[in-house]
Amino acid sequence: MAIEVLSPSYEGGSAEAVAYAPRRTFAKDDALHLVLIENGKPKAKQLLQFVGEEVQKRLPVATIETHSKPSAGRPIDADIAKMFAARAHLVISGLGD
Amino acid sequence: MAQVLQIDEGDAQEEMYARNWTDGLPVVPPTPDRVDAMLAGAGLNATDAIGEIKERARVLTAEKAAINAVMAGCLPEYFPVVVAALRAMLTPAFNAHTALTSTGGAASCLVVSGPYADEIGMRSRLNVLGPGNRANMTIGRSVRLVAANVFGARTGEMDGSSIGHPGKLSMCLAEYDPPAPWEPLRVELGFDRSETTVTIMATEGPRQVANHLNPDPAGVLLTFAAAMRNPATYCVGKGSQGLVILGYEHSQILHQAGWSKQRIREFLVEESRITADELARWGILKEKGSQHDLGETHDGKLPAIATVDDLFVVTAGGAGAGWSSYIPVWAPTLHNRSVTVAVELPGGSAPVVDEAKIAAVVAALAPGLRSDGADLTAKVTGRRAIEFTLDIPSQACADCVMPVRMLQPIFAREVERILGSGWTLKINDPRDEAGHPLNASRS
Repeated sequence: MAIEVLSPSYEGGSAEAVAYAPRRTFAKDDALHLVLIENGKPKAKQLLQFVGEEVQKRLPVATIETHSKPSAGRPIDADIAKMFAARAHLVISGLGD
Repeated sequence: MAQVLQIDEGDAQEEMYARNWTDGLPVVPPTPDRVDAMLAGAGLNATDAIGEIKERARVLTAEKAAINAVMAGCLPEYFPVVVAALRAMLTPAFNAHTALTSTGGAASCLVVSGPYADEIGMRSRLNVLGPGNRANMTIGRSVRLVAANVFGARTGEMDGSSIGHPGKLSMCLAEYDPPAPWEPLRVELGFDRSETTVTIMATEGPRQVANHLNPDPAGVLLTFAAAMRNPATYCVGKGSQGLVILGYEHSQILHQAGWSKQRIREFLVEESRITADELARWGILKEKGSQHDLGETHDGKLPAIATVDDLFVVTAGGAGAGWSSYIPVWAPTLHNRSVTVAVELPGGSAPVVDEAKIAAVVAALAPGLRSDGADLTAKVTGRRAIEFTLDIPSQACADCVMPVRMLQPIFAREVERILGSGWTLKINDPRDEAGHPLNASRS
């Protein structure tokens, strides 16, 4: 015999797509500003800074700024993210453990 | 509204396993009538919002909460407690986005404090963290099923637990109200004694604390401190919250020695601090330049518990040789905090009453009245409110029956003994009714 059951799973829509910050074009001799966002885990800063230095060897990165999140368990503050989007040419983030 | 699926009744379990709806154990099929009954248990509509996890852009509706509570095996009268637990879980301070996901493998540990826990038959004494009580097990299980089915906290999706622990299936206990002057958890947290609250904590597994021989209060507490400062616990040296469950013998020793709960907390927070050298002795290196870099403290000791207010002390568990429990929160306080929410019961709904207990109250009180030719009935008229009516059939008997002012303390004593504390009672006496012949005879 068939019975009716209700789905326990989430059925709402997926999250609204977030628009990327406008892409900037840059010339070879531009002085680029690179922002590193590290999540606060042990050695996260050192790892990202190593990546930043390797990027600097390949692109005309003049300045590197590192932002340390106060908690790996919470997203970056929205206003801080907006500020970096406005002033950075490149941002590198995304770390786990 | 939730999608309705037709499945074969005989294959229901396998179908629900195939859809990845379960926690590995069989579940109750969430049929529409069962879900409706569950919603009615909390007086909620299907579309009512319980809360959300903003980072996941997902909102939990009462209907989805009810579906998962049905699957967990809840009775409708448990649902107000489930809803309070979910509201607590979805409060930003709890940080469910991380607590449900972390490699640390936290359980959503629930502490229910208040009279409603007793009304729905929750266990607060023997085996309080163990199996066997439907309310304890299914309320905790509901919260986890919601986390998995609604918020994606499943292995391979958004639950990254490296090891996890069995409490992730269900971890829910009721507090046994402590003897005065100790206050129960809800009162310590600013709620009224008559309320029932749910406190949610994202915890590692419980550590049983055994001390069977030491009658000294400080000696008993030092054993707790040893469990609390175990270097293998992630938050030791970083500062988190924690839950102490004082078992029967340990709470008796401390209470009889005159220790307040505040003094217990202060002692434990201090004695559970640890030096970097002690951590290193057991292989744990202090974090530097990271989110958990606490710097140097005045005496070189690092906290297990962030502050005195971050240690929760409750009484629960049954008599034995001297057992208690310590349950550490899985992450330091900068990532997650416990949240407490009051249980909201549906207005005007029939209270949950054990009719056998009401009958027992009448059976205890009526014989004295019957010897005078009178009788007694009782009915529950509201939440923890009971109304007695004296039946006095003859005028001659009226003078034999004690007046209400004398019956009141006798009735109150039996109500508390059989039904528990916090009840208000009213006694209807026909002799007090205007125009009643018995009343007239007394004027």
